[in-house]
Amino acid sequence: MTDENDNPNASAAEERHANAMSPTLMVVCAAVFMLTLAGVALLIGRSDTPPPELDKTAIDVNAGSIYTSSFPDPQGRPQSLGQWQHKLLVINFWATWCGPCKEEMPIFDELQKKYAANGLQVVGIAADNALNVANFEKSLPVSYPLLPDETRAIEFSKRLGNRLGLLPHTVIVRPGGEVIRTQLGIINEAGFEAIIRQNLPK
Amino acid sequence: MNVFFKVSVKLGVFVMLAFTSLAFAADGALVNAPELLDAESAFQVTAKMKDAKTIELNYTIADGYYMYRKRFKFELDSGAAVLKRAILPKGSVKQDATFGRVETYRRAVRVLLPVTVSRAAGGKTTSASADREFINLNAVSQGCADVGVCYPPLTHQLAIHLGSRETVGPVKFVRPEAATDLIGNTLLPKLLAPARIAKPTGSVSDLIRKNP
Repeated sequence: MTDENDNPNASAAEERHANAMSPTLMVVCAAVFMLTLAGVALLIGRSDTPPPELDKTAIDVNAGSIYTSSFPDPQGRPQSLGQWQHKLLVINFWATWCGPCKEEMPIFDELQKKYAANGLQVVGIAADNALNVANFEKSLPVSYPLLPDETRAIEFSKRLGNRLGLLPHTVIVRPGGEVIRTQLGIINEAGFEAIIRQNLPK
Repeated sequence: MNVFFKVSVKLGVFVMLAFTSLAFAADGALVNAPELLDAESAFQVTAKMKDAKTIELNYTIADGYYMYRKRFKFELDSGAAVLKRAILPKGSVKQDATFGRVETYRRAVRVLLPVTVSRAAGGKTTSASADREFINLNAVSQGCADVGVCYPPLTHQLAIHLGSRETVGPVKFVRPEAATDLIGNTLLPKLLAPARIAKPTGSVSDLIRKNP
């Protein structure tokens, strides 16, 4: 070892120095890499869990006022949400001009078909006009009512915790009127279905 | 060689650190709804007269947000000028099996708006002098964020001085539900034509008040 210290060959000394340094660097490297992996794993893991909920304390609507609210169907007939007060009610706020909204509608269509007999009722309140919604329904029929109300849909959605009035926004209301979930963005099918199954009345 | 090795190890560490922080930043953007920008910040616009016959609108779109080409709409409140069809550049096209062709803009978009000034309607301007004419433009647009949410249609109201080349920002930004805030605006009383005021939206709040 001392021979090596005295070695006048600069390149050999440098090599020894590099070899002595590398374990420390390798440990740092490995630690950072594991952290990175953890970060990525967290990301991937998140995509399998339901999207985040909005703050439920921002909800400015009580059970009574959910059920006394009424929105017109595309033919203009008022549909009171109260007719579904004994159902597990999924209110989906959407619009024909909202790409992500239309993307997730087949999921609601499937859920409605699958759990109708167990007391599920999906309702699609549209921040849109009746003509757009009627045309949409013709090209892509769904198994649940679509209720267009261009002026009141966003306002109602905001009262259900959607501060910025963004779409899609989905709310789950237990029979009796308790809001158990209010969330923005496309739902995660598996996560959402699990919540539905846990709360079905029948 | 050894120097290169050391440098590359350090670089590797740096890259991995950067990647790690990026991964966490992306994570936050994906899951945190409160991180979403207000429509006002996500979609910004300025306007100027490009020449005597053309309004130029420059939209700046925040990173991670996009606007729909088909959702732009432009209207004048005053009769001092008439708009012709807006010239919108080609966007990036996404062909959707179910919903057809969707054209969108990212980062920035320049819209040209041919305008014809009608001298006969000079009385509707905010200034008595013809060369101080303003037109009040309502620019309606609509966009979404990549995280999978869309903003309701928004209206930027711009007061454009026909005789000037100066760039102006919106004098008012109107979200649909905020339309009533503009009643009583004395600075530009003609800014909001009656047609632009949202229909009375009392029904839901009335219901809520009636049923505490």
